[in-house]
Amino acid sequence: MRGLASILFMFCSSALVAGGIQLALQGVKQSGMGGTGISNPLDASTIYFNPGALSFTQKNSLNLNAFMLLPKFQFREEGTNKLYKMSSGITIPFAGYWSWNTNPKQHWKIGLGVYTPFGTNIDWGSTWAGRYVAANSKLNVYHIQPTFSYNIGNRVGVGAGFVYSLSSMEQGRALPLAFGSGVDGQIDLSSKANGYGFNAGLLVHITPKLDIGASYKSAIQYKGSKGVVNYTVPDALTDSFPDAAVNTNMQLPWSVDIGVTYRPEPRLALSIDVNYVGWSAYKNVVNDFAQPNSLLPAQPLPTDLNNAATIRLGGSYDIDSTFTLRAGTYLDLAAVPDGTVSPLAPDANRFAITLGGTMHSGDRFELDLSFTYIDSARRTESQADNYAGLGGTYKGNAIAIGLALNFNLGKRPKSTTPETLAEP
Amino acid sequence: MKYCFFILLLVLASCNKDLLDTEPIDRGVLPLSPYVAIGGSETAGFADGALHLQAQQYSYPALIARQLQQVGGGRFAQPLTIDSGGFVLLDGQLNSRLKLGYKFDCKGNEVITPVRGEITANTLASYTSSSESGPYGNWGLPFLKVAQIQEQNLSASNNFYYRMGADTTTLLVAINNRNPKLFTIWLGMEDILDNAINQAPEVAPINFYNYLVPLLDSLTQDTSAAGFIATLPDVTAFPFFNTIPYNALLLDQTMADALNQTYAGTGMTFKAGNNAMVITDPTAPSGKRQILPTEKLVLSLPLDSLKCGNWGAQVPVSARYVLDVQELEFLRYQVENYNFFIKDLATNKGLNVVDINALYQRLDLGFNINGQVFNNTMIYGGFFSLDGINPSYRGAALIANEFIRVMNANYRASIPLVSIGQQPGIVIP
Repeated sequence: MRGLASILFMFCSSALVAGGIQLALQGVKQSGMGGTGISNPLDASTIYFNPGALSFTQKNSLNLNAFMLLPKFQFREEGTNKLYKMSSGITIPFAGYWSWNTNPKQHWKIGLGVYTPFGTNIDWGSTWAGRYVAANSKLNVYHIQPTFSYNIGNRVGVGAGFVYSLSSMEQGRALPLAFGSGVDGQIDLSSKANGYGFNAGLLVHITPKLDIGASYKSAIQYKGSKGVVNYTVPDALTDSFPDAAVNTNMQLPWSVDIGVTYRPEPRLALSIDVNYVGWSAYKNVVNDFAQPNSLLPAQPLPTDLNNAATIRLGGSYDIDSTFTLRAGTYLDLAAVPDGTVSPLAPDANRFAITLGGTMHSGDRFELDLSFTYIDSARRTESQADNYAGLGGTYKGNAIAIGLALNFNLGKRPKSTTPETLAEP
Repeated sequence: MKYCFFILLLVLASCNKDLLDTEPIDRGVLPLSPYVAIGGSETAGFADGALHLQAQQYSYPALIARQLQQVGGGRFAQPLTIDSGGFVLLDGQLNSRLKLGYKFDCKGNEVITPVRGEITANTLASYTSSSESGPYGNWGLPFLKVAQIQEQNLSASNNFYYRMGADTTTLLVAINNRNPKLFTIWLGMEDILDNAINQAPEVAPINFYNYLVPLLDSLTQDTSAAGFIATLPDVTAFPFFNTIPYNALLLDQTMADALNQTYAGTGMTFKAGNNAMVITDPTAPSGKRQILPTEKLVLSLPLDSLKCGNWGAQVPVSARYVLDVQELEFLRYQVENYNFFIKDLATNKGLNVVDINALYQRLDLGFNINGQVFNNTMIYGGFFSLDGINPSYRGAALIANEFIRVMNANYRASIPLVSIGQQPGIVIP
């Protein structure tokens, strides 16, 4: 019992780790600015970044974002000196936001966000050296967040949204049980689970030049009973490895975010954000596995994750009334402690540079573009210390290209500066 | 537009560039060729109860040679068997290798168990000749005892020698004729095992030492040659001695009562459930007793006799299938002393010690290599082949890596290790 449960636990528990999985891709404008957005309500996407700032956005708008994410990872096995490449599956995270009130002069605003805060798509193949640890992993998480925001005297904005979340997960790895053809056995897990939480925020307009924002995105607990584990094993073992239903019990981490935006002149905005992500709250247990099986030894479990911070810097500059340039950078610190790095989430410190731009087309429409280059630092696990005995060096990078369409639904005349805050 | 082009360039550059490079590999100051391997069954590529083709191809010397070739090593020929099923002589009969298969036991139940394959015309051909011609690098001989190294007419006592085509000389001379610049030695296992399994007379440690000296003297005449000698593991930890539990005698109350009656007055007691098996022991007052939890039953014990022949119950299991406390103690003592002399000889003759014993000791607790746990369990433990004594292909790869690690450490070499999980696993039907 413990044996198989443990195998499964190992299989799932590192599924979802740190920034490699936590997608900082919720708004194209913010992406161009190093992912900052806690204290700078750029458009309706602030529903995600800081619900408290939503009431400061001036227009009713629909903001549609899509990203093309091209991750790349390589692994050099310790001792054998062999290189393995993760096949770079392209993922397309998206985010859509809608905001509305009866009149732009009102102090309240409602909104709805649908976005993908977490996700991964990893495939190392079924023949690589670490296939008994992980072969492929796919995680999709969708948040749906209705939001209400209110500002007090155009000075302090508060807001909160209820988050309903849907998740689906698929994972596969090989089992050291060889068929006559030499092909390994395989264990595949798929599960779906739903959860809920909240996202609350505060924006304080301290002076016309200085804003401070904070938000708290709660941990989200998922429960589901639609999980299935499928075994592909030699005939002689099919009775020992029956397919089974599994219950999902997953918790995604909370995040405390604070940010400061300073505008030395109306056309220039500079932001610093810090996200502190509670990876220690993360868990992912697929349990209720009633079939005892002692054929494969229990695997040691990876230890808990560490809370980790991301530090972001970003800025925007209005070149003229039709074009805004954005740039930024961030440092995303690893959450996975040494000894528990897994090919499912080859976590390491990440450093990114970002560029972006917005084209304003008249009053009604904006087009945003962003480009992010993420460098995932080289990280070496020793065979002796790694929880799964998988020693080697990981190195990765990723490119994310974002495109957003922003439709202004209200009839308010356009200002030359983007969405600056109204004077108190 | 220029901006988009720039992005596109960056994307393409990123997609085509390797993120990591392989590290440089180098033989350092290790002489590579000719490489000669000397040893018993493990060295020859005897696994799954026979000398067979695939086990030879994945024998630890063959794997070492393959890695040496990456840094400039030469040809390493092995006397490969003609038939892929290989061969072994059991009670004078030719047999081919074990594979996991289905078999009906005496109770009519279909069980999955190692079964011998069909004998073909090539089985006999494998016995007399090889599909690969010499000069051979692998001089491992299944069941090679240290006393046989200098034995004349060796094929009379070791029927695996004839096919090597060196029958007119002793093994020592045959090896010497190869003038090895690099040699690996793993000797002594077969002497220990022959004593443990076949009750062959033990070879005293000092005699073991004396048999090794002429071989090592001859090999170290060329002072530029590099030699590696392996320590011996505690054979009593092998699955061959640990797969049949001492208390495999499963009884219901009626059977227990009957046995209590049969053995009244002997001090033996039986209850419903699992019981320690009855074995013969000439030193016991009644000539029989129950086996102790610390004692071991060998895997060659006929399972059908256990299941249907009342073995271990009304019929005591013959002592030849049992390793009792004294025998176990003696075997461990022998291994310890052999290892003492192996290390002593290595120091005196300038050989490198490869602590294979330490590798086997790690199997007791098990260790994880790339997500596969290796331990002392049959089949699923991954390290041992189906005979429960000799290593599987992945086991051989682990052994090869121990040799390569010492080569790298002592000869400033950086020879890549064998990728364990990329060797074939144990096939399950």
